[in-house]
Amino acid sequence: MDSLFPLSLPAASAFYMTLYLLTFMIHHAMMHYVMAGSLYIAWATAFPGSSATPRSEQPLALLIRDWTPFMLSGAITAGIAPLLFIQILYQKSFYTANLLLGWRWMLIIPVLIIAFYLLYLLKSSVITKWPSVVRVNLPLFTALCFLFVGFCWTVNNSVGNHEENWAKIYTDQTIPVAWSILARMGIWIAGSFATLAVITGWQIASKKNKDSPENGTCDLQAKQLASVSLFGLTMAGISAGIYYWSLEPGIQSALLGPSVLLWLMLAIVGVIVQVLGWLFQFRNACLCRKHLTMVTTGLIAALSGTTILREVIRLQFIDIHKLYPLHEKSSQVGGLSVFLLFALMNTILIVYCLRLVRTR
Amino acid sequence: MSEVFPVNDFGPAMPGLVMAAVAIVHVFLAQFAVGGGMLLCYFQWLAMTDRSEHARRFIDGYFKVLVLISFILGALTGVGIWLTSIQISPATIGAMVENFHWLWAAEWTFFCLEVVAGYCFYRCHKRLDDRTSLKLLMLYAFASWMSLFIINGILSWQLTPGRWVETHQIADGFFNPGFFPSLLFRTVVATTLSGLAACFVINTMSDIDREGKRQLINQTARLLIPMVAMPFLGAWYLAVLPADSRGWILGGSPAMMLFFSISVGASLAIGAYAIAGLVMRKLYINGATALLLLVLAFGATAGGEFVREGSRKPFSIRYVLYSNAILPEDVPRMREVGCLTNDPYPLRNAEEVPTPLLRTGALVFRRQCSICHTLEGTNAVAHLTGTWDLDQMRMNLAKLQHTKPFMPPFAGTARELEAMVQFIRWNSAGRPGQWEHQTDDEKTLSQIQTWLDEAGTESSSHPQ
Ligand code: HEC
Repeated sequence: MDSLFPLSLPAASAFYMTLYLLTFMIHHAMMHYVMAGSLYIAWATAFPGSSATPRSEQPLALLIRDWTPFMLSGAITAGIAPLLFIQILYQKSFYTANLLLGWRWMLIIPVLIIAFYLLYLLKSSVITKWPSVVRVNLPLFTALCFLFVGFCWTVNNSVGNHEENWAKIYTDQTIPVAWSILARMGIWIAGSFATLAVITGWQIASKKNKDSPENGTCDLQAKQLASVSLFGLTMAGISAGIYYWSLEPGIQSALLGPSVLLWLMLAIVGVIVQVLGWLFQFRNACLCRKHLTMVTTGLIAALSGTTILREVIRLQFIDIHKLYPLHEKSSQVGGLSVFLLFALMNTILIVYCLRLVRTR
Repeated sequence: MSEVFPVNDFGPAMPGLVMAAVAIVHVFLAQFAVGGGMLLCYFQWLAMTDRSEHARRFIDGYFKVLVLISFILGALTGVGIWLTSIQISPATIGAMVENFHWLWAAEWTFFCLEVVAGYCFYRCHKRLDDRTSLKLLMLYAFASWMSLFIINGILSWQLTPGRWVETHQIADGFFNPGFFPSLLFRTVVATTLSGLAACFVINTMSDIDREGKRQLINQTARLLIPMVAMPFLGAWYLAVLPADSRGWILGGSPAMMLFFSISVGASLAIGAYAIAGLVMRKLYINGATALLLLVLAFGATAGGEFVREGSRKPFSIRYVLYSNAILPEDVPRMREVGCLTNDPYPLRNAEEVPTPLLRTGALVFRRQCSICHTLEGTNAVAHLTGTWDLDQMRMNLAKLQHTKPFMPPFAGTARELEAMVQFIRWNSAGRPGQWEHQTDDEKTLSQIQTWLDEAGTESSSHPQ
């Protein structure tokens, strides 16, 4: 019973849970790029800094603007898989939360559509001709759209966890939102800066290899990215502390329980590794492969750890024992081999596509 | 018994309309994207073999449109359709996910390929050689058509589950009787939409002269040729539908027949123009006409999707689940224990409803009827029952599946039925603050029970 979560669950449940967690992490990594990227652009536009090129026109901002639309596409596409698996794992609570939030929940679709087009607009040259009020506020508005979507998902999770409130939410049509939800959001929003730093770090480093080395900008970018990541990790740490403190004692001790503790440690070690990796790069004023690998490892560790802890918290509210038979029943239907076959084939084809454009 | 989820009120719109509206937009965009992939491959080939002077310029412009429309609106309305299905009928989408999640997961891997191949082309095609560009486009087109292939199996299963009803084998469900006709039909629709959109896009390209545009349009028109197969594919699809569904489409249900006629009429108009004008006489088509044809195509899609949604009645998954989320096998029991025993959700605005019996009636209506009826808006029961006297109403509702075969059997006790009858009456009377129940005495209830027994618990719609 004390084996590591999610292996501590029965086979079918553990299998769906693992797939859910894995695909959720991919989705989150890309979503982080968009979330932190749009916040960064909003900040860089509002506070242009004192150097000759305003922050929003510096290579880092240009790079982020260039890639956020793709990352959003990726985040949405990657998000389909966890959206599928969550319906198998927690059908009743997920559907009920959707229904109780009703039209408020459905707003995320138009908001995402608007934000998506805004990302393309921010990247285009049209916007440079617009009045400065618009130019400054548009990035801010875009970031707010993503914050709103994130807020909705967090509320959805929280509503789904509290079955005891469902009937009342249904009749009153108001959603109780605890202040601790802000701390919870704080963790992943701040944490998303760490992901942004790692991904853009690789983007810049691989570009540097290809183009003639522009050491000057790279120096600056190494420092910028290190600051972005350290800022994010610090804020995420503080939020995590507040959130932990807001949890009931029973949940707190569940996070320290034997089948979970390792993941908590993994998350903490992941953060420490990232901090060290970025400090090195800050000091050397250089993005290097070795240290980028180091922060990437730290990031993956921290993302896995926190993703799993997030699930453990949910399971303190939802009695998963009752759901085991449903997972078992779902696992009886055919088609797994079809999925595995196509997953393999399409992974190969995706790699092939990337090689096609890389080698030419 | 199946899980009871909270039921939301969509005002005057009935839930099915909300669902259809989102579905139509998504299907239209998604099919455009599927056809777009094939069209681009074709033009890339024309460019590579020097058969078209402006093909490269066209590919560049068209792909931008495709990315801006299909990658954003197409993808997000896809998520939207999923979330909307949860809003409308969690039990339906839940059953679909349970039965087909691995196929959906397989479809997801094609989405990933589609996005990667598409973006690789989008970002790099200016510096890529022709063969590489063609490879990327072919992968993109393949991935998007495969996503159609997979989702088509799941959607057609809802309407024509075929042998799956007995075997519950995933292959029987997926390759159901409707699978091939609808796959081929949708593929033709896809190439048609992409062709019509291309005619519009070509007109917006100010840097190509009129002769160049004419050439491009004539080449595009070849993608409209498959439309000649549409009548046959449509007839094939109709032929595999369950007889009762087919009957409603072909006249049994006025609304359904109307939508069907819209769809057929619009398709015929496009087809006639495309084949006679664009293909045979090589006419030029301006932006406005192209747009008009696209609007017609949207109308055809809308009609078609309405028919698809509507002709499943009284089921949301044929023979498996009624539209109101009640399982056919649960009806006999619900006749005894009632339909409210496991519904944890109280009535909204209960204070407006004066008596306990009326409140029960409101809950029964919410559970069993509100998926297809509103009280006052579209398909309003107040309107439909306007001319019936009290006993007529009791009998017709007790024999619901015989009153109209596209309604499920009533799944509750005699008392619940009487409560619902009173509730409908009260509502038709303008929701007064006080209400004298005419009768809910033993005699009435036993008469209702007799009617319920006569009606039986089976649907009027059976597997052949
Ligand atoms: C699967 C969808 C569906 C469900 C569920 C459903 N109905 Fe209907 N009902 C219809 C349709 C469609 C019509 C036809 C409307 C028309 O003819 O314009 C109809 C017609 C009616 C009529 C008019 C019948 C006539 O002969 O003119 C009444 C009354 C009615 N429904 C009441 C109810 C009640 C009460 C319930 C719940 C116990 C219910 N319906 C459940 C779809 C449904």
